[in-house]
Amino acid sequence: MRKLMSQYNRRILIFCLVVVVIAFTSYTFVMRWLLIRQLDADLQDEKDEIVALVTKDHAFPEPSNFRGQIVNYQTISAYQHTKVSTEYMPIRFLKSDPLELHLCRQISFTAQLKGQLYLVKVIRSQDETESLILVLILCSVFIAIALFGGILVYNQYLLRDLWSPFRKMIDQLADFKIRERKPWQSIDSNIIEYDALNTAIGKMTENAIADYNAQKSFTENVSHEIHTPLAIIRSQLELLLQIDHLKETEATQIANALDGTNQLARITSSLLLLTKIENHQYIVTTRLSLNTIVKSCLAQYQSLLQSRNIDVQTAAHAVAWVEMNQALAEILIGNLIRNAIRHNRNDGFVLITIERNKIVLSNSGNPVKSDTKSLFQRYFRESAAPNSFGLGLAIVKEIAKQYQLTIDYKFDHDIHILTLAW
Amino acid sequence: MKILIVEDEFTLAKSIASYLHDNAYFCTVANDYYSGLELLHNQYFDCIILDLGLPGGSGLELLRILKEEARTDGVVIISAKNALDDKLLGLQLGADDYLTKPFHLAELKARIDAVLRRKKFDGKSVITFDCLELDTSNWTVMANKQLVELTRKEFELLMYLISNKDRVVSKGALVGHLWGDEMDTFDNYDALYTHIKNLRKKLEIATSQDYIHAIYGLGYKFSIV
Repeated sequence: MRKLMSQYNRRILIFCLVVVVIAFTSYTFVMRWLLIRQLDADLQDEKDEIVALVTKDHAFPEPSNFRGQIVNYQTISAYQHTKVSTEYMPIRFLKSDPLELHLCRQISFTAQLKGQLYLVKVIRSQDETESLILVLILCSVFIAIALFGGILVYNQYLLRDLWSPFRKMIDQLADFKIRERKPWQSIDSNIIEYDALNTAIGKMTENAIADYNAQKSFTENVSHEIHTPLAIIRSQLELLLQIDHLKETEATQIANALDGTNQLARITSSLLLLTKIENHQYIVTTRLSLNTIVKSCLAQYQSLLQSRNIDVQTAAHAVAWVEMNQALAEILIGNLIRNAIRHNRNDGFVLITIERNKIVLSNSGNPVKSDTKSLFQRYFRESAAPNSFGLGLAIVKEIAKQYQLTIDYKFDHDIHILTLAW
Repeated sequence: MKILIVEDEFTLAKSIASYLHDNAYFCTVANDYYSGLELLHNQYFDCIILDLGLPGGSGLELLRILKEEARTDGVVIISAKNALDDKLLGLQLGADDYLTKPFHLAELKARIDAVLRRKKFDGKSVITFDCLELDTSNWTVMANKQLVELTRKEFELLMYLISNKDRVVSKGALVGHLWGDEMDTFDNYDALYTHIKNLRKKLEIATSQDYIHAIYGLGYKFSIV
């Protein structure tokens, strides 16, 4: 693939070259032909003069050889046709000249004088003609070179200039991320095509962003809407709990219904958070230490971990400095630690290793069905599924994506190992 | 205590009023902005439970009006939105607390109690229940003037239960209060049982009474009988 400019240059120059070669060649030939024709006309004139003189005066004209013309007479026995030809011959046009090889144009004809046939040759030098042609050729070549050189150089600037709005548009398009919702910056140009392109792109991006916004706010709105009926359900159930002399079966039913609402509440708030993160509502970043966040998060769950007899160790080999939004960092670490606790068994352990550019969370696993492992692994390759594993980790994944962090998950010998790196 | 509930969702408003109702609390309900405004103009309340998305005007507007008039009524905002901006704005405008829907009724009660305590005693306050005295400024409990050694979490648990005395509080609400709603899962209930067990033991030793009653394993009731 080549740049348009080089394609253009190549094709234009080849075309010009062909045209120029044809033009200048034909021009040269035409010129030459014209010059020789002129020469021939002159020779013809000389012949006519001589013939006229012979007819009138019955004598050959005085030898008037000048530089450039020689007339010589030769007796012949038979009539010969008039001939015009070009020959190289060793002659001298003036007595003072040395004998040299000249290119000559000669006309030879038969004239009769006093009963004797003579072959008259009028010879003219073609040197000047040839010199002229040579100069013409040189000029042509020079013009061609100048033309091509000029075109090449000028094209560079011209095309760069003309293409510059287009290139600006390409750069902006390459940079366009619908999630950022940056409106299209119009490129000013007085060229119709660029203007049309600019308008079209502007409209297209505007529509795309509007659609995206509509989708996002739809998700946000639906999640909001769900909260109110959810609040009603939960409040009613919690009031039911207050009934005196509740039977055990009834109490269990109410408790199950409550569990359902709790799960629903978690799912919708996770969904809402995900949407907000995707909507870049958490933009401000600060330099912060993940070590601090890990510590405070663990402190929050300390009593919980103690009650479940889960041993927590933090091995901080360095300070993990990152440039992130504070709230998002807390959510990220919080979710990871909560998972490490949730999917842990009693009397298990949690080990957090902190390096300068990665954090590794390892925890003992719940002795649950064997497809936990594949579920976890499958989770990371697929999009979030709204189950107890899914959304918390979907949020983690979304935050990681925003700050170009990598997540690696392994499940080995009943131990979950999750590595966060940047 | 006079409580005003400004909430347009009728069922929810009624549920809150039902739950709060006892000898100490008297609840009034307003279902929209203008009725709320009218009630506020006519009387003072100890605590206002304010929903933000009201027909006729935003709850934040009512809050602004209260602030302009330099009112001292306590305000707990309840809102379906969990927007950080709304929270900050609400607290800046003088709200005492902000609770996102859906919430546990027990949690709302605990927050209201906290606001009322702050309003009445400017920080230092003592909660009494039977022979128990909880000092919220230094997290200590006295039973019959004798100190009871409780961990911080046990103290929080006790305070929560006392706030919701004579009411059945679900496990979910308890775990949510102690460790956040995300921890509301099966495995973590074990931790709750342990805390309850320890608290019960300590209280029994200190007071010879068992205030904590288990309700079929779905929750607890804190009461004298």
